[in-house]
Amino acid sequence: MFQYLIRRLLIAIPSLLGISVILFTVLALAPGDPFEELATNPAIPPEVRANLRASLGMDDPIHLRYVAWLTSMLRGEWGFSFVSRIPVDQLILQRLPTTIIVIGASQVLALAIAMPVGVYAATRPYSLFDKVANTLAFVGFSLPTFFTGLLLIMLFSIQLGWLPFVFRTDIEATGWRWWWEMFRQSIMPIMVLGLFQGAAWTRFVRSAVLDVIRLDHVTTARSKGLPESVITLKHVVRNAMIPVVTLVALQMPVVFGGAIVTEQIFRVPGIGSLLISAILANDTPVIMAVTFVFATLVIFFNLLADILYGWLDPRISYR
Amino acid sequence: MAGSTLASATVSAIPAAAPRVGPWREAWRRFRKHRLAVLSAVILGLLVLAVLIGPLVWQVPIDEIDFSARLQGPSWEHPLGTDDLGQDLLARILYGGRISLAVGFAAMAVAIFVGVLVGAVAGMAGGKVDTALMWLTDLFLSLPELPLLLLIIYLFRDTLTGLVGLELGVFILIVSVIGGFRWMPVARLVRAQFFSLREKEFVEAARALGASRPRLVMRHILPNALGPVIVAASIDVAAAIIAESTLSFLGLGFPPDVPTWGRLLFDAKDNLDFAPHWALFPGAAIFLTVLSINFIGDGLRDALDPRRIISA
Amino acid sequence: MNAVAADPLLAIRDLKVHFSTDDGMVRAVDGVNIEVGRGETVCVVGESGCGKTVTAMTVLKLIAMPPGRIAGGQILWQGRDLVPLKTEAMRSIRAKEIAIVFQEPMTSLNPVYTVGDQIAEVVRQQEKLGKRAAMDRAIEMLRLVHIPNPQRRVHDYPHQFSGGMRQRVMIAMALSCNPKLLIADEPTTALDVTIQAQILDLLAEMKERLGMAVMLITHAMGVVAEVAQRVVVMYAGKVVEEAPVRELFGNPRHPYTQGLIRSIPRLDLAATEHHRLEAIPGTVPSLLNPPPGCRFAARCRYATDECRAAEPPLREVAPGHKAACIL
Repeated sequence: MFQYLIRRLLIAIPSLLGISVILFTVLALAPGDPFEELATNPAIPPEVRANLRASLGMDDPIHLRYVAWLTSMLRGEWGFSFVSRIPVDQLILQRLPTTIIVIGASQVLALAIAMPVGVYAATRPYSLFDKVANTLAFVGFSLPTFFTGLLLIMLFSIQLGWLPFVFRTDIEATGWRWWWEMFRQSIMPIMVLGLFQGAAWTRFVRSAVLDVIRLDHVTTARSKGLPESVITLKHVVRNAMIPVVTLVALQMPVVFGGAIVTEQIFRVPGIGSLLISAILANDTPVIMAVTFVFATLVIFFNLLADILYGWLDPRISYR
Repeated sequence: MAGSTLASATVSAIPAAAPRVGPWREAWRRFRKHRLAVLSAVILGLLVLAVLIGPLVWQVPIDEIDFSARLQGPSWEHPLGTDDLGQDLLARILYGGRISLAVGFAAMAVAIFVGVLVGAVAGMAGGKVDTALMWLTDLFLSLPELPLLLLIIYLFRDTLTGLVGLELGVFILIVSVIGGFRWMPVARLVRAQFFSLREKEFVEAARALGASRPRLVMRHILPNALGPVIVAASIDVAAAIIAESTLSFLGLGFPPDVPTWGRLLFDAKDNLDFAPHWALFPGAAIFLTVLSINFIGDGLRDALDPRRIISA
Repeated sequence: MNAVAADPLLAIRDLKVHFSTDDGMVRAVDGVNIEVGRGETVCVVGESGCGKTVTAMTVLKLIAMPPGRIAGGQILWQGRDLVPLKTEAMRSIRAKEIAIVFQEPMTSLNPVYTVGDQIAEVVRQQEKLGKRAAMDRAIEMLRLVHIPNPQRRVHDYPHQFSGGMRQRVMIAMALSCNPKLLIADEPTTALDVTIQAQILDLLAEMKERLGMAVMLITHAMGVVAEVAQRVVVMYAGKVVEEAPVRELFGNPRHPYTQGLIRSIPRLDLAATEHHRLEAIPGTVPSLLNPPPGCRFAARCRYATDECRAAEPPLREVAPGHKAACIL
């Protein structure tokens, strides 16, 4: 298992390098000088611009620039935001926890929906429950996150007036009251992401369970006189988790995309909304850094999925 | 349940009874059984027809500003209401639908083209080329699509605009970038087909008869990979429409005066309390289009890809 | 040798199992009678698709329902009919009274649990043993089926065993609760020839030591000759002949049985010039709309109009020997 872990880690490194090459290529191919605007901006003194150019090695040959860029990225020297003049790493670290919490909570919600519904539907294929669940799942992942967000705002904020539709960081309350307000304003962003992913995962879980349920070893389990509940949990769901983990890992880029949209709709101060505001303000260092962070997060979750996969499937980790 | 029993009991019994039909008729027979897919095909057909013919019938300009009719709900004069400038929403949605659907199908075409190319080269070459291409495929699968999409459009928008004009420039950019991020499942499918079909008897036979490689690929291998690729293509159309709408919704897609469905939602989102219709109609248009395409994809999967290869 | 005891352990009476498919109802098992006495070894033979596996699976109600359905008949287990039993009641029969070994050792074990866990699971379920005691039993069972180094191997996963070894594990698992009847559904078909013989020997040895009855499903007449006491020949969902093993090989009455026996490769005759291995021409008829009359008529060289008109009943042609043929 340890060896397997090390190997997965080693495989993740070229992926990260590959992503960094792609990112850098995009940046290098981009026409014009991303720092051009600084020259015309009277608020920024020429020395700062020259320093920035030097720190990013703008005038070197391309492969040297890549190496220089990568080392500074790895060392956490991500430059300063053009807009707020705060170091980019600081800006991102401030906002990353919010994003992680929103994504984490929504994925927990998605799992809480997908697991029971998918398993129950697959154990009764073509029953009424299965048909209804399947149709709802299709509706769920055909509703784009930005539209669900608006619908929820219309329903819960405007029609019913139950929930605030703007996420505030300056809640004037302490103790339980603060937690309650945080909870209230987190409900809709988490629901938007969670329902979308839950719908997609329900289909994954259902089809994975359906594939396992007809395998021979399930008949063996039944021939042992085990109760149906034990057969389903121990011999079907446990095995079905193996493909589901892979599919969920493949979905991570989609999850992050959804997080950007959700943060933007509800003005959640995470790195997704940071990215959008940076793009609207032409804040290149922030844009580059956030994109890189997203890419790193995806690789990280893939690695996590690989580890989980090895843990779930003894055939992998023992090979 | 004891699938093995069932298989051994029926498989041997059926072939003698089942009538011989062509593969396409058989696929059509299976597709028809999926009622929601058939219904969705009808709905999508009507939607396509509406955005193609609609503007010819409903000849209200999309940019006619009428301040006396701002933010009105549905009426006879404006069946889907108006926006904050009094522009007719039905006309704007019909026009925006053309763009959304065009982006969806064009991006799908790009994805299929790149995917088939990469998959065919990997499948045919094998060895190191295959390993490298599959590594690239896996790498692309783990790229965060939306942030990169935003980044690329941010960096390249102005140049392309200067080259071919604003609307066309953005269209080319969006289509190629969305397509460029969705070819991976197709590449994998095509490659897998190559590997499973390469050693099959009829291909061996064709090779023995001296069929050249490109000929082998065109005549024997690609047609066999067609089923799963068509299924993947249908999913791609839906995903591309969502991706384009997302960009527009974030205010970073087509220019503000082009009323794509996502852009309409972007404009509507600050007026939800007094003009909900403004957001509901374009949102419903996206939803209905994507839902029917997804159902059609499901029907096609039943019809063409009985082995249910899961592709994300 | 008196074939059928007065009080059989298992008596399948006029069993009918139907499967509904897209093209209609498949009568996979169509009025089958089989009896197994205490400690007896009965072989059920026939081509694939003749309903022998479905019959075996139906005894433990392991067929998928739907699309499968027991359309009629009884399965008497020590005099008690299993057909109307609910799943709950069925569970206490499975593994504890009647155990089953399947054809595919490669897929019959769950790949994500150790073989020890999988054997212990049955024992814990059926005999309410504790974790340690169940694991000890698993080791003991692995030793019984001659798996070397059982204390260590008990913690291995199925993929760490070869096909023959996995089939030994399956047998160990099936026998771990001391069942009175072991159903072995083509237990050697998926294995190499040399391993096949070992598994058959193991089954015989286990039967000797534990004294359970065995119902062996197979399509290989060679296997039948080696292990059976009594043989039931099935064709297209029906029993066409039933006899003690010597009687069957010495005096086969049904043309299908005769064909099966002639299709056994014989080493002693292979060298002689005039001997050719015979295959039975044609294929099994569709069970969707079986033709009237004898189902074998289309492939039978002796078939007459009488055969095609009405189905010949299974009748006693000698003591303990029944055949469904008018000849």
